[in-house]
Amino acid sequence: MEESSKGDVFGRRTFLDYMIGFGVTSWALLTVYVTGAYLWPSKKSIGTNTEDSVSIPLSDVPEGSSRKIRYKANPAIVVRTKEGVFALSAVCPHLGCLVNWHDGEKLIECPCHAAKFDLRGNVLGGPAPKPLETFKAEIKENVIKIG
Amino acid sequence: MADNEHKDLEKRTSFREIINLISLTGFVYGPLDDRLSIREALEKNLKKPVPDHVNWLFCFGGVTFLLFIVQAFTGVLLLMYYQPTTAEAYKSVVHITNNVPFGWLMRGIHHWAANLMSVFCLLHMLRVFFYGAYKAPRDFNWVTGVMLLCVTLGFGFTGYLLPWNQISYWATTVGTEVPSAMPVAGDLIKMLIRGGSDISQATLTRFFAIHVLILPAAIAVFLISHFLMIRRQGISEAL
Ligand code: FES
Repeated sequence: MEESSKGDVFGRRTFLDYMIGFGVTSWALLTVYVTGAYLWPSKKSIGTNTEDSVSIPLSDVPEGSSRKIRYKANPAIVVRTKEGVFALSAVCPHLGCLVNWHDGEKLIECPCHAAKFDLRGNVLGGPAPKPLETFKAEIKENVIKIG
Repeated sequence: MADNEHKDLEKRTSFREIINLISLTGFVYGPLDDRLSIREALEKNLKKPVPDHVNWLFCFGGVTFLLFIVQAFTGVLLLMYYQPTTAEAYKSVVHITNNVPFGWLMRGIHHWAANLMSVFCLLHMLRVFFYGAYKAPRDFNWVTGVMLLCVTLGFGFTGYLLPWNQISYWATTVGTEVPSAMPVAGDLIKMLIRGGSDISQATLTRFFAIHVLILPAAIAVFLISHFLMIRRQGISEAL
């Protein structure tokens, strides 16, 4: 077959150019897609449990102590006192630090700018603009069920 | 040349031209080329004639390099999820394989390209050997090539431990036991590689650091000198 060098849209050279261009482009797009899907943080890829309720063994949280867990993919704090168990979001509504339970003072305090909360999430002092979100928590036999 | 480029912009209709336009050529190439004459440099390199006696056997080195690029790419991606601790390493590898979208693919490619890279390294060496291309004045390049082989095998050896499963644990046990057969310093070297008397977290941390930091730096140095020397000395003569 004679190769015509100009004008002919379906010349061999043009055809090959198209094929190579098409192949390279689709390969590149595919790579971009696969890489993007791989890197994109999804519930599945970051591997957090997003169930509506989580249970932790009662023995993990002795009376007077607290424990940080993940609830609905966000940090939460579970506090156990004489009155029972409490679960709250551990993310401070001020600038997002993770709050701690202080058993001595019987209050939740943020380590960053000292916002203070009670066990129902109410702001007792400090810069927090709104209360901590609270979750339902109860003791069922040997587990604490949150949510 | 760059001026024509601009004038031709309106005339660009064919598929290939569109690709050129959205690629570097369109946005960056023109202004950049004005300053650095990239096209000239590119053409000089891409269109450099190769001698007549060159055949497909001369591709092995290039294939090895291509596989290295694949390894660097998939390796960085794996690094985004891998956790180099004895408690989490295996879990994170399982997580990559089963949960992360296309994680199975990245891990599979990293695994197979690693094996193929060693194979093509050796094929490349066989070609160079039987063509006598290792002789002076290319003897120094043979030396950097041997260093590259060592680094490649080092990648393989350290990477093998990272999934922290039974086979990697015991393979590394056996592999690090080997130098202890040497007289005098053997045990010392074994301890040095392991970071202790047995395979532990220290070993995993060490191998991880070597795999993702030290060897990549080493291979970059040797690859650059390998390529510069080829460029300088040209492809070896016919048999
Ligand atoms: S972030 Fe909690 S007080 Fe500022």
